[in-house]
Amino acid sequence: MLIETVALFLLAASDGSSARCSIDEVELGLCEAGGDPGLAIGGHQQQPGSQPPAPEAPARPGPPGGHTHPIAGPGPGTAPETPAGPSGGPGGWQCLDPAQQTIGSTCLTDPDPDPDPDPSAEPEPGAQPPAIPPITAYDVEVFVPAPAAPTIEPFGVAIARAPMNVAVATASQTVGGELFGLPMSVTFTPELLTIDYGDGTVAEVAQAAPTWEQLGQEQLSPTATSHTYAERGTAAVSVDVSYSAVVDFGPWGVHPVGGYVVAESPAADVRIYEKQSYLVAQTCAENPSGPGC
Amino acid sequence: MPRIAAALGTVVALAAALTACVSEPEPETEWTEEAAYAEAEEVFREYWNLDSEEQADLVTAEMLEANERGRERIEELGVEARGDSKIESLEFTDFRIVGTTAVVGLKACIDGSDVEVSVDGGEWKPAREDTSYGVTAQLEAEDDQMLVADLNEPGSDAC
Repeated sequence: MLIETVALFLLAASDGSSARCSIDEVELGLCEAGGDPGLAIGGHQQQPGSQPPAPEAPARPGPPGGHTHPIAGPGPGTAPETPAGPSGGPGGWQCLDPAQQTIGSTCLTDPDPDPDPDPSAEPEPGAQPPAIPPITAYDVEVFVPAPAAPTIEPFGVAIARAPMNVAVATASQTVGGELFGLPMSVTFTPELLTIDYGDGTVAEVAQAAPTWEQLGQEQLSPTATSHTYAERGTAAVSVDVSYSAVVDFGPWGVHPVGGYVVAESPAADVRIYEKQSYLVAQTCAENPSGPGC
Repeated sequence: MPRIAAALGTVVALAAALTACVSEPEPETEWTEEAAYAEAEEVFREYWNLDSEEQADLVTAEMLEANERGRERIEELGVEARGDSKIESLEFTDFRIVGTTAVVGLKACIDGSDVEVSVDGGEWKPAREDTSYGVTAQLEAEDDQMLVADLNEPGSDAC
């Protein structure tokens, strides 16, 4: 009697189908008990049609604790020049207090957003339209939504040589605040997910990373955001979400933002287990001390 | 006393009768280890070289279902494959008589370097990163023929 036993008993919640594989599945790396990063899951991949972000701008400390950073990308604006530091040299993100005085690079102040700027407010008669410069990702990065923690499937762990799916809930979000002294609302739209699987593999997918259930797929089946680890161990998985943005100044118009704003999620440690099969004479009910029971 | 002896005798006789009812005849092993290995290798190599439509006579019913599930799964994924993998080496790992059935376990190293895939009509690419990999299989005797009963990729043994 062949009994498929799994070191990780959480898998008992799957459809219970046998782990026998056809030759075709083995050849494509889809074998449930094994398999490798077949179907080009491994390595650096990109979804068709997705736009990779442009080369990252020079690293600089960002206001929200380093969890977000803007990168140059497509858009009408241009990446800003690196702000001059106190010494006058390049580098160093500088924050301003309400009096527009430089207070250094560690200002983690609440942007005090106003989610409902009144876009219908008419400018006073005779008021001169403000000069709004090209808006860059650096200008709006303090408003970027907090990154959602990725969902690791199955059950927050991975099985060596079987696909692990990484899902992230993303959606467009609008945040109110003030920019260039003007009330505005900025809308962030997720464009690109960059998934670091923690073993040297980084994947980029466009916009969405659904769960198996949302995809209507069986557990342990390959997805656009799945990854197959070769060995047991622990991997730190993180997902960065790149947003495009537009700023609505109400009566002063809607202005696109140049570049992507990237929200970096904290890494989640994922334990990688191994599934083993045993050919045994009795079931676990008949011999509870048998291998794999 | 005679009643007790009679009762005990009845119990013993009944137990003996029941034991005789449930005991099975000793399995008559028709398969020698050498014969099972030879047949298993021949069947497994033939199975590996056949197209999926031609494998039905060489697999158990459960394995036939697994093959069908695999075919449907690959179709759902929109994956098209071309090329054939080859058995590089084969070694036996197990021979057992289970009841009246001979069971052979084997491990084979596969060369999959000729297999390419195209997802949703896209570019043809190598199907796997590791083109040399190991598989395990069990074959069971049905009557006088060995049939492939299980195929798996344990992954832990490098080829």
